[in-house]
Amino acid sequence: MFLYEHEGKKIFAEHNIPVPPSGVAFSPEEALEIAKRVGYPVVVKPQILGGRRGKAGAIRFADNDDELMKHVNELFALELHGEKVERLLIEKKVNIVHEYYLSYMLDFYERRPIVMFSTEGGIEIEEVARTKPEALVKKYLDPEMGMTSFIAMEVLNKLNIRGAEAKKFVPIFLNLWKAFKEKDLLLAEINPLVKTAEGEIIAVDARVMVDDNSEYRQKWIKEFKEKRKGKESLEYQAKEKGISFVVLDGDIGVIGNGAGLTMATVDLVREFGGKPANFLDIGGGAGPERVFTAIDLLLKLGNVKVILMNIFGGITRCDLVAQGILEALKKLNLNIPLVVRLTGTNEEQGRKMLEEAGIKAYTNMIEAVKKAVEIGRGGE
Amino acid sequence: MTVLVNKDTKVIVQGITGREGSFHTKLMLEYGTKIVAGVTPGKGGEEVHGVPVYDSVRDALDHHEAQASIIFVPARFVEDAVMEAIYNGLNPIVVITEGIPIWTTMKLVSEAKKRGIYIVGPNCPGLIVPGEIKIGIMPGHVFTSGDVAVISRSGTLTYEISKVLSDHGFGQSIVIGIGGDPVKGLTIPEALRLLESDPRTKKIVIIGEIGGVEEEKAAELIKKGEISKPVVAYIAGKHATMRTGVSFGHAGAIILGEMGRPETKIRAFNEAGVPVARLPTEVIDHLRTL
Repeated sequence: MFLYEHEGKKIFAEHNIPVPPSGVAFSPEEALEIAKRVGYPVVVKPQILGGRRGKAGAIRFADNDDELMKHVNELFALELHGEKVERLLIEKKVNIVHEYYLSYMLDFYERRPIVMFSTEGGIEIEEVARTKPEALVKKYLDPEMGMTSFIAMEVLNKLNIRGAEAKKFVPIFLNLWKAFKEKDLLLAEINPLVKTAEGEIIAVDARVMVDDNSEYRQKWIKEFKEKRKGKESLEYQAKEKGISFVVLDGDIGVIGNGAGLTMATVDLVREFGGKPANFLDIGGGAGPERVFTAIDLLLKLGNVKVILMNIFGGITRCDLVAQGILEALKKLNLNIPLVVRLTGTNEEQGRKMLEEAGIKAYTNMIEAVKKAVEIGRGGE
Repeated sequence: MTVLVNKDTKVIVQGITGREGSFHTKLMLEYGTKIVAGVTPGKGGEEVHGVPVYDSVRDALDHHEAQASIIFVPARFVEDAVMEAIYNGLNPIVVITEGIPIWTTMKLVSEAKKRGIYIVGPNCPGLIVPGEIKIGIMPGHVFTSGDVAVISRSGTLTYEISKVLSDHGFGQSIVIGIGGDPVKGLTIPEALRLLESDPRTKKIVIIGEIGGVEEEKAAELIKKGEISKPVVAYIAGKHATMRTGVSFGHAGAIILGEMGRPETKIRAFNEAGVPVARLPTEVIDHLRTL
């Protein structure tokens, strides 16, 4: 899960990485209060999870209440990269002398952490790698030993940062590593890490990704997740019930069992000219409740014209899936067609249950997908 | 002889007394897998489906000969269980458990590698040599014996495609579900190398998906001529490009910036001369022409 900038900065601050004084505003009133507390001039930054803000002109500066209100109202009305802006970070503006880049990430394939440092901060690191590779140091680390003072010095020296100047950076290198490892992070990026006119080194942005699998030992993740809104919130509710749910933009609801099969089903809908509304994996060995919840979630999306269900029963039993569908028919106001493909363990039983309720169950996945796409088109 | 396991491989089930462990022990026994012992700390002396349970792998090995382990213990206890299997030299270690923190997996795989031990998974369906042995949770009846090997990052999609293979006369030499996590033991390129030297495997099917670079690395290996056997691929998640930075069911099925995109994987395979099936069912059409 990616964290909002302000959530990332909270983790940084806990690990003694200096960040500018700031606060998160969910309303213009809150924004004013925060500005009063940290003092003008301030920077106003929309908190979104994906995409870049700078290029979209969404990072604003304000010297007084009037300017602040103008920006805040404009930004709250904005949608950036498909995300509605719901929270703004109001932050004390710092006097930047130079921008650097520092990050740790896990290389999944090599199964090792990497540190990256650059004297060219403030732009995407891929661009630096392309246009000015000599300003970038990339180094694999031993996961157990991690970052040490001497490795930090080596990295800094490579980019001609030496002596007292270099020494200022070392604690940031060490503290960020500590946060990275202790908090089960997959990415901890400071871009830019800035040197201020006062000679301080401060983290001005935070891009942090945490491992969802670590939730049982990182209790703080839950707290952040519960505050999410919109589609993020629906997806989170699903996850709490053992369902993987990703909202897409089409109108054909897709339910499958197993991530690969469900992704393949979404792709097939697309392949035959339909628009998938979502990805929803009920997981292995799902019982009637999870099937019921899945259908309920798709109805909550509001724009689904037809539900396509693709079940390959291995560990999952087709009769239990059918039972879940029948319960949904009975208890939910299911006024959209349902196309079901059911095969595998106890399929005869499952199919019979559905047929008695007037639902034809396909055995062939391609036929079922084509049917769903056809219905989806018919409704336009 | 085949890769990783054969019909005589004796297996220990770690986490045998849990719901999943017990259920699948029964199914594996029915398939003919030689499960000699189970391990659950604190449950030594019990029996599950006629299999004796021990408190530790060491105690199990003092009473039985075994080579492989399959692990069902919950994520938070997995570190201890896998370390125990590694320190007792079990090989391969198949980790079914889902939800293991990536930092933990990284540590476990690194320990296993130091000792030349293969970990399959985590978050995987395991492996099956049709008609001989099943160390996993896949429904045995969809597989038939033959000479096509399947390497897959998926579970049910593997069953789906294997069934299509079986229905059309393409039996399988081995099916390896390597799992859906971003950091794992056996990777696609490593599995390819094993299968290259497997006399029973004539052709290979790779079922990949979005996320990571395993497919690209596999394509590189093939392009360099290190894999001489014909390979066919399928990539799931082609439509996932519209939501990046989000996992599609598998923790590893995630597009991060330019990494893990489906088009990059398809291009890499095509450049290596590997046909990529548009539909899962098309895998057989490509196998026929190779």
